Amino acid sequence: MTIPIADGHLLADLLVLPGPSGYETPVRDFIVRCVEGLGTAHVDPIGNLTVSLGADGPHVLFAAHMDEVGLQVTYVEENGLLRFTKIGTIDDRVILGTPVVVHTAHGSVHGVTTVPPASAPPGARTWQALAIDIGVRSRAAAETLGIVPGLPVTFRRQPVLLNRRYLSGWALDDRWGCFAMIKLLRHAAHGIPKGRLTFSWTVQEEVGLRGAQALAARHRFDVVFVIDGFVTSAAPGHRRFLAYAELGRGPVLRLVDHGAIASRRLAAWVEELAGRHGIPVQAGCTGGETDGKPLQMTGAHMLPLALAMRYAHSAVQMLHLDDLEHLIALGQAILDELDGVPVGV
Amino acid sequence: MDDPFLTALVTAPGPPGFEDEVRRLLRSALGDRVVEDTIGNLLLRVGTGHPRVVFCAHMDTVGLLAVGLDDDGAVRFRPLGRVDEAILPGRHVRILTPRGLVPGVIGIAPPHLREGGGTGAGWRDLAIDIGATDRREAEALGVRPPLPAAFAADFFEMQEHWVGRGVGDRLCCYLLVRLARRLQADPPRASVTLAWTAQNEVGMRGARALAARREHDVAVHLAAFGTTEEVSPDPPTSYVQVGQGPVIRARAGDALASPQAVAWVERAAAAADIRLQLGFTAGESEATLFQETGAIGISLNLAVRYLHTDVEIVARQDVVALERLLEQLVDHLHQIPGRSDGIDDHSDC
Repeated sequence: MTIPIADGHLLADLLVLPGPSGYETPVRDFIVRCVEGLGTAHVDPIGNLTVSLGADGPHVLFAAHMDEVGLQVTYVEENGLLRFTKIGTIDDRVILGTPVVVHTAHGSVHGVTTVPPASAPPGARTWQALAIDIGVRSRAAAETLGIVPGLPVTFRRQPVLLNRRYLSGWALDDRWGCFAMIKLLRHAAHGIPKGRLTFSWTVQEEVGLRGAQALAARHRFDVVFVIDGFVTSAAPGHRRFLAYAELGRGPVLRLVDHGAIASRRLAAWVEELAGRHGIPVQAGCTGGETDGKPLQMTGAHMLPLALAMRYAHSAVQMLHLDDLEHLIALGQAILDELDGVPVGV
Repeated sequence: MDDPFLTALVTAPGPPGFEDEVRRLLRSALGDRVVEDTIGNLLLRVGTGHPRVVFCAHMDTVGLLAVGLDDDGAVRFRPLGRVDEAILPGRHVRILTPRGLVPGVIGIAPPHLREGGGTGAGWRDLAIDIGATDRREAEALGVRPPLPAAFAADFFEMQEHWVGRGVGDRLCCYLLVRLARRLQADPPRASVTLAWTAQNEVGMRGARALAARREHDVAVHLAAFGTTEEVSPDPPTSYVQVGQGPVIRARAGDALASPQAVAWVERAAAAADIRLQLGFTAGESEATLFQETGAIGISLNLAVRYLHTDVEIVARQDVVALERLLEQLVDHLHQIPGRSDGIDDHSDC
């Protein structure tokens, strides 16, 4: 599909690549190709990709996660059905009756998640009672296809454009962030970096921020910007007791979530900068957490630069392309003025 | 059978009563001799004489009906046909507007915003999000309810199976197209009507209108047969399995397949070494409607797992076997028990 923003083809490519937590290799390989020659690239043991450039000034990190929520095969039944567990948090209701792909050592195997009949008793439609049907009727036939316990499983991911400017699809969280980071790194590499910059595409965010924890354990940062979603309740039918940020009204400074309270000084600095550049921003509080939680523990001023997203962790998660463009513009303005970023106390 | 036409036919939107795109595709494949009746059935007549046999399959798949707009641009809907509302969250849909298809999505509040797990969300709690911020913007996109909506269709192959929304019934439509080509090349010494019916999923209304004309002595209905197999925690009420052969719908609710037709089909299957299954279901059959006019009727089915979802599964070998069975049947139209050449005991009632 065509995504009508600059370099939209990169985002389109990122959205169709499979990458459940712990199995991010296809995504990382793609990003490595996109950022070749723009800095010093390194992949750490857990799988985070970092690209460093600039030597002087505050150590500033931009981070976005490559992984997505998915499923994992736990057991192959005698009758050929695959039992599974979740990778990350997924509502049972969006697992029912959907196309999936099992990623084997030999390639992709198509399957679907089962749909117990509507007449089935309560509990028959929770994830523990569901299975993946790959169209074989025996364990031996499944094994012939390369199916073994432990394989990662991804969901249907073809994105769709709504009303010209809204993008909806499974892997948006956080591939749009990976895309924005590629754009920001390219921007930084074009000029003379105004700081010591590290761009990190992290792994295993959806299973407990594990990539970011490993990163935080090995580095110290003065400033951390996390590029990730802001789960909004501004959607049809949602109760709006938390997380109110409208799509299309600008990037969200994610001030408070379940994992971290952002640096107020950094947020104020970004807000002032955005105002000067005429970039709309919103501030908000939401549920969930980001890589910013462990990275803040390095002693950094931390702020998630977020996008309002509806229907997170489902096949229809959704963002506004104006917000994405504004977030990239905001990130570029931040890079241009990094010599003024607040550091220390 | 790896045919671009098949892909187009399976993925075409066709909610009950709004089968226009399916009709357009069928017309393009079948040519000028196809006629459309007032309710929307497509009919192709081949051959002359007796018996007068109709083969029918339905074009529509269950969908939604957009019924209104909220102030925030959300599109309210109700089901059109028997939609399992548990599988609505997270689905992609297409609203059929006079200006074309408008994509939309059905979302639910994500785990981040809830305490504990999610509970059921019925269709009354859900809306289609088309990316409009208010009523005016929705209308500017052409979304002025009431309008029908279809579920977005995936169609792919999986280990010798076909998977997709409504794939069972659309494959039946496809088999009728292939049967039409065969009959047109070699017209039968009998009157054969091929009928692609409308509005099946809201009470078989297309077939009802066709049967009311009392033009047929024998009706063969092709459709999907929903199986549960081992994915059901209940003891099965039907032992039909995908991949074990075409299904004779022995019972459709209270209605019985006509014994003469069963005998005819079983003999034809035996002659061609085709394995059949007998199915018993609470679901309906268009054959019943023709039986009610005095015709003999039978429903021959493709076994489908996960009927009425985006991931219906049909076995390729069942489709191949059903096509061979249909070829046997049209080659032996004069062997229908209780029917002899030229004898027609109630055509003029």
